[in-house]
Amino acid sequence: MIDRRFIGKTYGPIRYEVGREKMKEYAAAAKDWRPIFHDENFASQTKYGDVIAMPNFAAVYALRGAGMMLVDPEIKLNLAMLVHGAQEFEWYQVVKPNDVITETGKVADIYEKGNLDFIVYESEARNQNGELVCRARATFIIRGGGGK
Amino acid sequence: MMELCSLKYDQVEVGQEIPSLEHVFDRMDAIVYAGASGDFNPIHVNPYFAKEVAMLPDVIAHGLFNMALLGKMVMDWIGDPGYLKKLSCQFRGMVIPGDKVIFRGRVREKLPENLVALDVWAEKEDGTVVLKDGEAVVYVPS
Repeated sequence: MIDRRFIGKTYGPIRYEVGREKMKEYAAAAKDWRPIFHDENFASQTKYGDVIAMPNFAAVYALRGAGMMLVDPEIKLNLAMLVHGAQEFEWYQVVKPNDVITETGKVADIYEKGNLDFIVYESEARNQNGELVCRARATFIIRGGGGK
Repeated sequence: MMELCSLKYDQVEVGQEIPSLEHVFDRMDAIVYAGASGDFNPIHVNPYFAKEVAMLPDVIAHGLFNMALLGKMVMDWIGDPGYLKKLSCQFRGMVIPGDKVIFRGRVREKLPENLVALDVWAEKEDGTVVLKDGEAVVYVPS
């Protein structure tokens, strides 16, 4: 069982500056070649005015704190037995090149079911205007017990 | 102004299936995704580690890669990525090189304010579940 006293532990604020080519690289890696992600000339004729990030790019800008939680020396998760169990993203704004995203996250829950331990990370990502861009919730499962 | 979404809220019917998406996972996909996402966990990119250390049949696809393809399927339907408001799923079956994964979605409910909720999931050809109990919420203009 992972110690439940870590529920509420916070990570961040974590700053992420969105690079134009990095956004495109992510969409390409996800096999998504639609022009609104890649073609500035096309995008300039839409309401967005510039290319936008694939929404799933939140995996990069909104889950950095989850990575910190997973290797947190206080919590000591058994990474060899860890799997990503579930993921949820909610989006409120599109992301464009040069946006500066600030992620703040926390350990939202710790519980066990059978011999599986669960730890849940929740984050909120805001842009340089303070607007909420994305909420993310990641559930990780540690098989056979989490604490070392 | 060019519109990206050609769908109309009135045309959406509860129970309708949206066009599915198929992908045969290649080990290069995981290497490219690792670079793009920054997730270099060796179970996704190093066959020796995956087999000999992690005791897996081979390298496995990133869960978030599969989830990105799930998102692509929904965006292919709505046209405007900015109209994707929510996406969630559970990561279940492992995907190894050569596996064909089929991503599917079905309209579950029409919500107020032009929102539409869909059940979304992914499975292999033999029916093995890859992404389970997924939900997408999209905005569809009138």
